[in-house]
Amino acid sequence: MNEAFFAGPLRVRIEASEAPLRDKLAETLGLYDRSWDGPFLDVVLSARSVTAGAEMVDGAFLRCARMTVDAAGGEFHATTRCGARARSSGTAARTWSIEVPEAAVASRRLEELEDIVGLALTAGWRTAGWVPLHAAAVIRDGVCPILCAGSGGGKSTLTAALVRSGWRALGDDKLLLRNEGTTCELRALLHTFNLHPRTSEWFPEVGDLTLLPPYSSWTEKRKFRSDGTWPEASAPRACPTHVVRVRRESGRRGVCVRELPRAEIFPTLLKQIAIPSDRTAAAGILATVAKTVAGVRGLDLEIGDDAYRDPECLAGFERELLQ
Amino acid sequence: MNHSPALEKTDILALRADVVATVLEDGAVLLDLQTKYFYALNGSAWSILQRFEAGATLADVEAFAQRCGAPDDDSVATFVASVRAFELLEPADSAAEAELMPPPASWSVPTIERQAEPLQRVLVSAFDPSIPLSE
Repeated sequence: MNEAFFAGPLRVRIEASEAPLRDKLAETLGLYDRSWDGPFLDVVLSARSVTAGAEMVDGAFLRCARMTVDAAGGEFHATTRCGARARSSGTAARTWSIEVPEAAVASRRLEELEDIVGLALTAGWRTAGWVPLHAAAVIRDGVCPILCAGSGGGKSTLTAALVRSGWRALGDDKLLLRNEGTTCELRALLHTFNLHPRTSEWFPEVGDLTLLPPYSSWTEKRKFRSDGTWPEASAPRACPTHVVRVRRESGRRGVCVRELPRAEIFPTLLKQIAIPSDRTAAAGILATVAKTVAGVRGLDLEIGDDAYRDPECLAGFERELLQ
Repeated sequence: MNHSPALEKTDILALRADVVATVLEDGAVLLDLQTKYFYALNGSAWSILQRFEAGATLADVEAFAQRCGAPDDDSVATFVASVRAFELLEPADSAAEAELMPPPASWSVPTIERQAEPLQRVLVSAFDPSIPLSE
């Protein structure tokens, strides 16, 4: 079985010994549905089942909730809690050999393959010169705020609210960022928003989100295809003009926007990036963030729990952005 | 902050290899890859710390600071003591001339400020640096 997918600047070929492995890899990669022009960097994910699970590595390069990663000489060795293991080789066309315990394949408990795919993609994107950014971004009239918050911090709902107000979205939580000379560029990777079912109360056109399956055991959120409901509301690329620190404030009514102090802009953006404990990778990320923040304005946005009941709640925020 | 042993002016120190830096318009940021703390430096502080990238002594950096217009006081020693207390410097065998950015146009008291919270050491995923929630 052999199939190719695209994920931003990567062309990913998958090879799998069993259908469940192929299906999970294809499902994970299928989310990256924004078309990019080439050239593409080739990545191969080759998965097979094995009898015994692997022991977890230390995580000297990266420690995630379900996965630890070591790296040496430009090659990676990742392990997950279920005993899956991935090793990379090569640089120009990186190949990942993935081994998954038979028990996990048989029971189709393959969520941890998502972590391995995420590692392979982020490593590939960095090789291609891009920094993966866990943030949202929208654009209107050349104004492009990067919306920064942690998981569950309100990025997706804010993105959807701004789309309803006439902005176009690059994405709600997965973007790529790079600097070329003095130019900074953000690129979109997918059309999917991760929306909480409660979003339907404020934005009825999204429908009953509880009818969609939860996308992981970590969250109640559902993957929602934004281009079906808001077909004109996506943008492929933009140059960021603002960094917005988004905070949900349960005691607040409506929203409040303030200037974000200059010294807070760099850390706000840096906190949206998974930084490996590797000098070369970290230095590249810091340099990209430093160049990005040099030319942007910072805003601090507090959003009350039920703010979106008021369709005009973001008017002041939008005025600040567009002034 | 740790209390480091007393520093002789001729002790050679170097920035730890797992501390990375990037230059901002008004100074620099250091990230300690071991602790995941990051630090904001003003321009004078960054010009001093660059001397430590290839190894330097307190006497070296005080002399450098005075050539840049620093007053003859203990502000540089105080700054270096702060950097040592954050454990960003380690003993080195030899000092070498580093490739340096030009010194700041005007000298100010060197400052280093550690962010209140470090970046997360255990992440949701290779893409998402948030704090993992329990499943």
